[in-house]
Parts: sequence; C-alpha cells; structure tokens
Amino acid sequence: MPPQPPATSPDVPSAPRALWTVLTFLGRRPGWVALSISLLLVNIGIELALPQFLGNAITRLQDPTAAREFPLAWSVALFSGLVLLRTLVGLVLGPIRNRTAITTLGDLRAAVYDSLQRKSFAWHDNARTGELISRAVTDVGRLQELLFVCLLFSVDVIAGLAGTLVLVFLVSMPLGWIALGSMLPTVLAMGYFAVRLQPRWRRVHDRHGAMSTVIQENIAGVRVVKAFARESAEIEKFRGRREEFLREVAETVNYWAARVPFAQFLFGLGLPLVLWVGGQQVVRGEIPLGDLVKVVFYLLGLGGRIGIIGQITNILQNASSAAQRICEILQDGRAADSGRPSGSGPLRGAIRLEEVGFDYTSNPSLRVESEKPAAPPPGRPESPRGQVMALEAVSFEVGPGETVAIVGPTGAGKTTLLSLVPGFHTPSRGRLLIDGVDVREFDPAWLRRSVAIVFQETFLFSASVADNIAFGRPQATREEVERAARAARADGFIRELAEGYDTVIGERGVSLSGGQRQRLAIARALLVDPTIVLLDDATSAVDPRTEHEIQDALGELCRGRTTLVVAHRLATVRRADRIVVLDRGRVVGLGTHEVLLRTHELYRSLFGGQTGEEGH
Amino acid sequence: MATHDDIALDEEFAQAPMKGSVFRRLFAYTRPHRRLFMANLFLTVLATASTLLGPKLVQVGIDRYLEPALIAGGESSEAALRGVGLVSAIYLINLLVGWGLSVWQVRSSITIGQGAMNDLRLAVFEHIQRLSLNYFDRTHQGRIIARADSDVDALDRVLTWGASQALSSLITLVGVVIVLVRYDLRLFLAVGVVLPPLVGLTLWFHHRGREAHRRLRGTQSRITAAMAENITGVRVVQAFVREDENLRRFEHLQGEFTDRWVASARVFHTYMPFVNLLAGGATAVVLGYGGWRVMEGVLTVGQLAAFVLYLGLFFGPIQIMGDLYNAALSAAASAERIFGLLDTEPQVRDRPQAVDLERLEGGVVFERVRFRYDTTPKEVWVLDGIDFEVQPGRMVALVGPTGSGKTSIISLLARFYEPQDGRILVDGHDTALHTLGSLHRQIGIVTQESFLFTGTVLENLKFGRPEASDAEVIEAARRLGTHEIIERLPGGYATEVRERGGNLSAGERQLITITRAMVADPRILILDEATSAVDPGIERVIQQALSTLFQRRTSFVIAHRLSTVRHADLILVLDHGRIVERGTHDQLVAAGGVYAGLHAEFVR
Repeated sequence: MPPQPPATSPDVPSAPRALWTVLTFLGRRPGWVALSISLLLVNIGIELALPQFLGNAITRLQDPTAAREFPLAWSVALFSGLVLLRTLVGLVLGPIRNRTAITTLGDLRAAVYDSLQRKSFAWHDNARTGELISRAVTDVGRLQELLFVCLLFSVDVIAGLAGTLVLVFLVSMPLGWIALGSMLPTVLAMGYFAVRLQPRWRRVHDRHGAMSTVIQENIAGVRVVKAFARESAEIEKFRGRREEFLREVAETVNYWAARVPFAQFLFGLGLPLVLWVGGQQVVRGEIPLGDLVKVVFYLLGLGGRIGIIGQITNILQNASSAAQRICEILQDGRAADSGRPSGSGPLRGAIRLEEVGFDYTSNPSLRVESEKPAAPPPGRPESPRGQVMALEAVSFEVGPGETVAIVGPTGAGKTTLLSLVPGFHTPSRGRLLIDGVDVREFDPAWLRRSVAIVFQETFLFSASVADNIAFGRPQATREEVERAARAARADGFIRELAEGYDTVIGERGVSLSGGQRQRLAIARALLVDPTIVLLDDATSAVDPRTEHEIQDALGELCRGRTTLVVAHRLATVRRADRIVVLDRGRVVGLGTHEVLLRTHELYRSLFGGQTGEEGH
Repeated sequence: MATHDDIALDEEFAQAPMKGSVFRRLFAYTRPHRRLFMANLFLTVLATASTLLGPKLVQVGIDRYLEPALIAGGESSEAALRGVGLVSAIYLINLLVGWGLSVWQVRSSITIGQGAMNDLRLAVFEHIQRLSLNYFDRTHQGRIIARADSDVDALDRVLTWGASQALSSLITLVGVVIVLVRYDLRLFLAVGVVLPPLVGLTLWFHHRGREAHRRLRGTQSRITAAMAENITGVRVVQAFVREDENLRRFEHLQGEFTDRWVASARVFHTYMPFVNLLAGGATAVVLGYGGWRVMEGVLTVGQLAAFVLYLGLFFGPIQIMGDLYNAALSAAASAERIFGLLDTEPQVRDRPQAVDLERLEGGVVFERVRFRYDTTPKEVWVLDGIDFEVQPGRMVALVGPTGSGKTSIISLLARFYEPQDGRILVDGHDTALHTLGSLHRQIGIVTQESFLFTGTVLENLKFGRPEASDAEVIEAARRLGTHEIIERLPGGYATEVRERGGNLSAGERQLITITRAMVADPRILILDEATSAVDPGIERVIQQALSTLFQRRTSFVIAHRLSTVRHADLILVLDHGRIVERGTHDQLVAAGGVYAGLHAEFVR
C-alpha cells in the first residue's frame, strides 16, 4: 500500500494509533475475549469440515463399485452431528461475544465521559458543545461496530481464509497456488480501494451534514425567514446544497463501482482456473473427482468472507475517524493536575492578583474542522486587530470577607477574571494567590470545595430539586437542603411545585423561570458553605418582587464570605465594598461607588445614567 | 412529558401497513429516472441469471466430461480435457459479464435512489417554506426537521435497493426451484421440509427483533442524555467537584444498559444459529437421500454437487426478503409522515387574485379583530375585538401582562396568522388581499431571541436584502452606531457566526439583528423588546440604534422598559385580548388606571 498523506493536522493521533488505543480497551477483559475467539474457531473448524463429507461422498458415489461399500448412513449421521454442534456453539457464542463487546464499549464510553468532565474550562470554551456531544455519542456508537468487527469478522475472515488455503493445498499443490493467487490480490485490492474511498465517503457525509444544517436552521429560524420574506432564497440555498451532495454521491459511487466489483472479479477468477486445472488433474487421475468438488465448495464458500473484507475495511474506515476524534478527547486538554495534595487548614479567603495576564490562544482545545481563519473584513482591508490579551497586568487584592465588584463593558474580561480564581483557567502571566499561595500550587478539587460559583446562566440537571441543590454535597440531609433553600428564598416556590423538593427539573423535567433558577443556584452554592463566593450576576430581567428576593438571597450568600462579583446592576454594585473597573483586559479604576462616580468617566458612563428606575 | 428522544424513538420504530397508494406515490419520485429504472431492472434480471449459471456449469463439467472420462478411462481423455477447457472458458466469460452488470446495476440503483430521495427532500423543504406559523406552533421542531432529514434517509433501503433486491431474490428463488425440480423432484420435496420453519423463523425474528431493538434504544437514550447533560453542564460539575460521583453513577447506568443489551440481543443470537441448523439440515438431506438417489441411478454426481451449491443460493434471498419486508414497513411509516406534511395546506397563503402592495407609507388600522390560535380552546379569544388606528411614522407601545395578546397583535400585523374576524389594513389596503411577500418585504421584525444563521456577520446583515452592497450595509451600521461593535468582533464583518450565534454575546446578537432590520429598510417595524439585560455599555448602544431605526417608520414595540413606553406616540394597554386603556404616557398616568399602577411598580 502506498504511504497515505496525512489527512489531518499533526496533533491528531494517526488512524492506526487511534484504532489501537480503542482496541486496547478489549485487553481489559482478556478471559471473555479469549473465550469468544476460541468458540468462534470451533465454529469455523466445523464449517470447514463439512465440505469434506460432500466431497468424499461424491468420490465414492461416482464409482459404482465403491459406492456399494460406502457407509452413507454413517457419513450423514456424522455430518448432522457436526451441524447440531455448530448450532449449539453458535447459541453460546452469541451472548458471550456480545457481552464482551458491549462491556468494552461501556468502558470506553465511561473513559470519554470522565475525560470530558475533567477537561479544563479553556478547552470547553473553545469546543462546541454540540460537536462534543456528537463525538461522545455518535462516534462511540460507531466504535461499537469496530469492536464487533475485531471480535468476530476479522477472526472469522483470517481463520476462514487460512484454513481454506491449508485444506486446498492438502488436496493439490497447483490448486492451492491458484487459490492463494486469487485470494491475495483480492484482499489487497479490497483494502486499497476501501482506503481510497474513505475521504470520498467522508465528503459525502459532510455534504449531507451541510444539507441537514440548512434544514435545521431554516426550521429553527422560521419566523425570521418569514419575516424577511426569504422563503425562495432559502429554497435556492437548499437546492444548492442538494446539488453539491448529489454530485459528491455520484462521483463517489462512480469511483466505487469502477473498482470494488473489480476486486470481486479478481477473486472469481480462481474458480474457472480451478475447474480447468483441477479438471485436467481429475481426467489424468491425479486427484479424485470429489476433491475437485471440495475445492469448488471451499472457494464458493469464501465468496461470502471476501465480501466481508469490504465490510471490514468500511467499518475500519468509519471507525478510524471516529476513533481519532475519540482519542483526541481522551488524550489532551486535561485540566492541570498540580499533584500538590491539598492545603492544610480551611481557607481564610484572601485573594491577591499580581500582574495577571491571560490569553485564550495559549489554551489548547479541540481542533474545530470547519473553522476558517477570518478573512479581512470588507471595507476595512488593513485592520490592525492583533490578538488580544483577555486580561493584561491585572493587580488587586480582596481581603477575607470583603465584597469586590467587577464592572466594565462587554469583552472587558470580567468573566475570565472570575474563572481564574478556582483555577478553571490558568494565568498566562503573573500570579493569582489565595491566602498567599499560588492557585497553581493547590489541588484543584480541594480548592474548589471551598469556592462556590453562581454562573450567569444557571444550569440545572435533570434530577429532583433536592438533588440539584445538593449537587455539591450529595450526602447532605433533607433538612440541610431545605435550610439552604429557605436562605436562598427558594423554599416558597419549591413547595408550590407538583412534588415539592422531589419534582424533577432540568431539560427533561419541569422548566423554571430565570428568577427561580437563579435562586436554586444560590441555594446550591450556600449548601457547600464556601469561603469564597464567585458571582456572575444574572442578566435576565425579572419582575420587581422577584428582584428583591434575589437580592436578599445574594445578601445571605455573600455575608461573611470573600465575594467577587461581576456586576451589571446598580443594586449589585452598591452592595460591594470596592469596585474594580475593567476595560479591554486592564484595570482602569478601583474604588468605592461614590468615589468612582465622582472621579471615573468610564464608570460614570456605565452606572451614572442608571437611575434606580430601569429594570427594577 | 415527551422528550426529544422519546419522539425520535417513536418515529424510528413506527411501522405502517404497506398500502399500495403510499408506495405508488413514493415510487412516483423515481419517475424522472424512469428509463434508468427500467434499465436497472433489466440489468438485475441479467445479473441474477449470471449468478444462477455458475453451479449449472460445474454440474455440466462433471457430468458431461469428467465422469465419462473417469469411467471410460484413458481413451476419451482428449475430448474430456477440451470439454473442461470449454466449461472453464464459459465460466470466465460469465464472470466478466457478471462484473460489468454489477457495476452498472449498483451505479444506476444509487443514482435512482439518491435522486428520488433528494427530490423528495427538496419537495418537503419547499413545502415547509410555504407552511404558516400555525403549523410550527403545534408541531415539535424536531419532528419537522425529521421529515426532511431522517424520514427521507429511512427510505434509502427501499428506494435504492428495494425494487432490484426484491426482483433478484424472486428470480433466484424461482430459478433455483425450477433447476432443482428438474434435477430431482423427490429430493427437492425432501429438502423443502426446511422451508416452512425457515420462513416462520424469519418472520418471528423480524417481529421480535424489532421489539428487542426498541427496548434497547430506550435505554440507550438514557445514556445519551446523561452524557449530553454532563457535557453541557461541565462547568457546574467542575465547580462543585462532582466528577467522581458522576462517574460512579454513569458506570452504574452503563452496567444496567449492558444487561439489557445482552438480554435483547438474544433474539438475534438465537435466529442465526437456527438458520444455520436448517441450512445444515437441508444439506444433510441432500447428502443422505441424494446420495441414495445417486446409487439408485436417478441422480448424477454432478447434479448432487450442484444441488448443494444451489441450496447455498436459496437461503440468502429468504433472509433478504424478510429484511426488505421489514424495511418496507418502516419506510411506509416514514413515507406516510412525509406525505402528511406535504398534504398539509398552509393556513395563510396568497388569494388567487392577490396583488403586490405598493411602497407603504405605514398607516395601520385594526378593525374589530378577533383571533384565536389552532391550539387555544374554542371558547377563548386570544384577541377579542381589537380596534385601533396608527398614523404613518408613529410609534405604538403594547403593554400588558403575559398572555394578554401583545405578540398576537404583531403576528397578525405581519400576517403570520389570519384573524377569524375583522380586518387589518395598511395604508387602507386589506392585507389579506395582497401578496405575503410584498407585505413581509416592508415589515421588519426584531425579536427577543435574535436568531442568526451560520455564515458571516455580513451575510446575516444582508439577510433581508441580499442585493445590498457591502458599503450600504456598513453605512447602515454607521448610522445606527453599531459599526464600531461589529468591527471589534474577532473577524469584524467577516466573523463566522456559529450555530445560533453561539460565539457572540446576547448584546452583540441583538445589535446584529437590529442592523439586519435597518439594512432591510422596512416601512413598518416590529420590535419585541429583549428582556435580558446586557451590560450597560452595550445597552446604551442598543437604545441609540433602536431610536435611529424607529425614525420615519411606523413602529410597534412590545415594551418592557419604561423609557421605551414613555416615548411612544400611542400606548395600548392590553388585558385578556382586549385594549383596556389607550393614550400617551402622560394621559394614562393622569387617568390613574391600570397603566398608572404598572408605572408605579416600575419606578419603585
């Protein structure tokens, strides 16, 4: 086989290595694998023995004198016994092989699951959730075929081919060479064509995907399409994608049809050759007629296995790209493990930033295939937009128990700054110290147990309300959960739900309003009793009463704890002891609300216009 | 509560009886390829015949040349060698012919199948464009997508291979039976004993196998959901250090799944060994009874060998036909769903004599409008006697609690729905009598959700007016004051928008949709004011842009902010589908009614 040009970027594991990594998961169940394979071998052995009976019968029957002495009944009985044995072995083999493959697949899925949940934030920031889910679900599903292939098809094909060859060579050397001579080129050609076909099938799938995307977006955005009277333009767009898809299919099919049946033809050539050469041998009396018939049976029986080779290579092709995508997840971007076990006592909660810089490009993530480098924007050919420190030389301190608000325009780096504290992102420059220790020195798990976060958008899991509140402390009692909910002003609406604290919420359950979700997030944070609270103020507007309840809940959460809050609202800013003003990644102001309002122009422009009236 | 997965599961395993009408309609989509279709069937007949010829050649070679040569000894060996050579040559030619036939057969099958599938897909897509919003209200989005996507894919097996596989299986079965009966009727009847159990077993398998598979998919979807949720919520998982606990639970779920899988796969693992048992049994009969018949001199050894070879060709088609039957049942279900969509008439469409609207001034009149959705209960009106008039260029604010009918009013104005009663006039023209396209081109809508399409920001901005030049777009953005923020995106105007604008902030998405409306330059503007507050800096840009956008256009705003309401020329206060108060801000505050109460809440 000619060397393959590298199809993907260098940091992606090569296809064979990826496949191998997947297969090593089979090594975790050596007993089951060995049992499956040995039963399969027994089956193949029986199958290869059966034509012997037919051939021998024909040899004897063809000669009228020999036929009279031929114990036909015995031969039939033995044959039937083997058929029965094959059935029994098959009945045992199926479930065993299945359990082996599925358990292994389960191991693999769990490994992907675990690897994903331990990836750094930066890694997840740069990956698309939809694509990750598709990899974790669809690609792992594809590997299921691979595991079956390896457990069954490949052993079946290899053992079948080898066994047949041996038996044919035993009949006659020339016939053996013919069998080998037709088999070898066929196998190679099948493999070669399948490899060549892979990128084409992939393009076909991509085109299909592009077509699906148009459908999905069109339907999700149906109101926009109708509002702008774009129906016919959308049809044109779809028509274009469909043409591209059909063209790709046609090209691929032409390629396929021109080559794969050729390989089958190559193999087919063996039979007329055997008839010709073997026929001569029979006429010359070198081999009995029955032996020629045996060889014919064997070669025709192999036809099915040769067909499987195409299937195997197809599955390998499909699986190898899936395996590459899976291995990419398994191999890199693990959140940094410092190795330092944990801090000694409980944290006091002093945070100190020293010249902290952060830059998203320095954090590795999943390769995103469809992403093109941005072209220069139209009408602005020489834009001097270089990339972009998300944070640059940020220094300030938060004392234990103090509340500091971070404000600034969009893209100033506020949320990024928060994520540095529990080590979700690591500063590219400078240091972030907690109680005087660099965060990189802490065991992240230990540190995070002392930090609670309320995200801007509350993510709840498909579980009961109680389970969601106890998310950070699964062992918490019901009383503790309810106490946290009461403190977060959530108890009231929870009791009004159909099944109270046992109501299932989240994606697959009851949906809650933004204000309710936020209070659950606060309850969830309260229950872990953190030393440090990180709060990304939610932005959805709620009615005035809910707003007051949320402010009360926040007050409860922040009391006596070091709090860093990204603030959008005046009410939140006012509660802070001090305020850090960020702009384009730099600290441009620091002080109390009153001082900043008087002295700081950007701050005034952010909060000066906000009277208490709007959104409250 | 039906989740997305449950729906997918229901549809995947739905089967419909094979009605002739559905299949006639389905195969009508192969009509553009009719010639190819007929040629394909013809090729199939030839290819099948070529396959059937193989064992016959082996039999002839043995009976006519090898056997006589062995019996006669040396003298006839010359003729026998020539005969063997001839048979081998014919075999070779047959092989070549079969190769050519299969190339063309595969190629034409796929061309026909994919062509038909994608014509159908296009038909669905086109029809979706014509359907009115009422259809989208009552139909789950995933289901609509499935009609054009997975439902069409489900037809692949039947449309591409159905006709040729059915034909080839039939010919093979009939051909094999004829050959075997001609060899030895009694032996054929003896072997035929296995046929009834084989057919029965195949039907049982397809019935039970489907059930088992269905149960399995149910469990699988739980695993998928657990996986997806953990990815979506990964930040919370890490923040609360739940990795170990979650892994433990996932592995537990996994174990349950394995057990169920093995249990349900048992059906398949029972079927195959028994099929092999029947096939082996049939061969044993040939060996025993056939061997006896050879000794009796009724059957030749060549025929005996060919009998075994033909038996091998016999089992394949029965399994293929069972499989195909099953695929046809699923395809019928998919096809029925697709045709159901294609047969749905759009509720709102152009009247036969509809004419285009001229360029509008923007005057809007609602006359005694009553309206309910398909989904609202019969005795309730969502809008009940709405009457108002707006002069061109004025701004109307719609105020009222959720469900009071604000959104319905603007949906009717855009004629996404039609009222059951009353009229809606623009510049004095009844909208129902004019073309939808000409109305929509003059109405701009900025919705809360800020839906963007994948493509560049620039392409999104041109969505309402694709013929706009880049300079026009930038000019529009400059006037709105959104140019700087768009420029500041990682690629400026060329920034690739990810699915649903996932790489942009809520504020940036809002700004882009506002600019998109500006580029479209509508006469009537509809704004559903966003409720999610963005940071103050961008909020000010948004407000500025909106007030520029409002200039010289009639505008309807579903207002959530006091500042917006204050500037309106007319405030309509809605409650339960009726206008309960109307007037300017000052008038309504002075009147001390519902609005005054709301205002008091606002400023608290």
